[in-house]
Amino acid sequence: MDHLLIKLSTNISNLLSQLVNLCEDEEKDTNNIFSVDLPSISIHDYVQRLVDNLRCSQQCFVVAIAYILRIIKQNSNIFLTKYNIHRFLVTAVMSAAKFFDDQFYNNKFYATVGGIPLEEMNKLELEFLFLIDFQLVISREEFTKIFRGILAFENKQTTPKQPFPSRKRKNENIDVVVHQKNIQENIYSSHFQTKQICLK
Amino acid sequence: MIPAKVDDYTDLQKIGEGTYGVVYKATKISTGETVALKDIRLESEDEGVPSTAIREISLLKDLKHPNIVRLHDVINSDRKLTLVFEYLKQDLKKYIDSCKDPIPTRQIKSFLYQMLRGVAYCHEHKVLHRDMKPQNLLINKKGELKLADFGLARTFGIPVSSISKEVVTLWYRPPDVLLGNLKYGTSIDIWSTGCIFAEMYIKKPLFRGKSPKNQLKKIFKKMGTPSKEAWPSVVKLPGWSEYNFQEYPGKTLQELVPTMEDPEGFDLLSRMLQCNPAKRCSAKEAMKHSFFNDIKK
Repeated sequence: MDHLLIKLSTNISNLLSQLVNLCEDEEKDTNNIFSVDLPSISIHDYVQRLVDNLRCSQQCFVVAIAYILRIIKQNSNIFLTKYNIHRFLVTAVMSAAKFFDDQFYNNKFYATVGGIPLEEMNKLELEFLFLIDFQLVISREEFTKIFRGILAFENKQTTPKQPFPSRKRKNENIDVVVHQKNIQENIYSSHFQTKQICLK
Repeated sequence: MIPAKVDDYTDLQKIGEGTYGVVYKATKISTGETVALKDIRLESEDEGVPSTAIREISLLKDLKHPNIVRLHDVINSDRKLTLVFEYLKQDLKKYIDSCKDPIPTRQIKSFLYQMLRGVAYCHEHKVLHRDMKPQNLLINKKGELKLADFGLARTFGIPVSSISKEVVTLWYRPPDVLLGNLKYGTSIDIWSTGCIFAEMYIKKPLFRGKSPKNQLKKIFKKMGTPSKEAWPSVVKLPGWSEYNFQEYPGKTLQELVPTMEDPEGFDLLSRMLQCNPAKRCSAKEAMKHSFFNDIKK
């Protein structure tokens, strides 16, 4: 595996872990089909598994992150949690591949690699497309920003543990949204310059 | 916003069969507006939502232009998606077939100009249509023409490694793509548009091949086999040495499209039907051609 892909997959796991940690106190959302019992596989291992097995173009992983950020931005009631991140990620990568790649695998393949029953995978796909309002077009500028942002992402635990009230206690999810948004903005505003920003 | 429902529409009349399901003409109850409903059956478990549908919906959400068919809504109902489009009565193929007399030059100019304006808008928005043909161009009584069917389209803003050469219906596919060029760009749509331009005069497709090789032979017989001097990089394309075509001299455009008569028209057509993609004009350049001097823009 080339150096860039290793860096990409490491940083994506760190980024998603950090986003999810912000919602540490969130409970499983029974109204959301992305939210399931805590998966036994860690975020890091899951990202690795997808990168190793999904034979889509590498760009799809970057685009998938853009899609996930778009969804949490557009839907104020959705946060990334340890209960839903796995399903969001595999569905986002699949949608990116079906939109961008001319040769791509079908849902059955993604379901197998993602460890999700096919019927569920299909439901997740539809739900995902409507959550993102079918806005799958990404400009080169946005792609470049996200790509740089991911490569420059530093795995710092800048997030204080305390100030996040759980939904149950205070019902002030706004904090979580604000903090997930902050990370999102950091991703977008990264000034980190990489010499080789073009994935062949 | 309340999600749209199929119940919002009445008077459904079947008007065609698309790749993924039936197309209906219908009336929106609340406004009385006529629309086209395109059903996409979600029957294939393995496939999920067809990628053609994902592309068409996502791209049309982004492309809003008078010469591109408008997608009003997407309805999710039991085991199918329904796309709600603006309704246009006819496609260019049926129009060409229905004309007993030659199509008036003014009409051809207007259609071609609108086609180019739609294509130019797509290209500005980094979208390749990749399936330009008369069946995918819709027209209405007012003489408006709109690009439809974006199922094969793709964006080219982001460098992606997975590109297909199985694009564009054979008769409208450019020679470089037939020879295996995978680095095609906006010029792919210009060749197809040029073929449609000629077709409006001769009322049948300009190059009707039966296979990719046969299609190339038809093109080279009419346009002349390209020389290495005129198109140096052609020798690098996989099909070039594989097929090893003889050197056909080709015919003149006047012989191929005898009813055109207009020298400006021949000049424009020759700029669009260049075998070498680098030499094909852009949609924007074509729109500025003197052929269009006498039409309302």
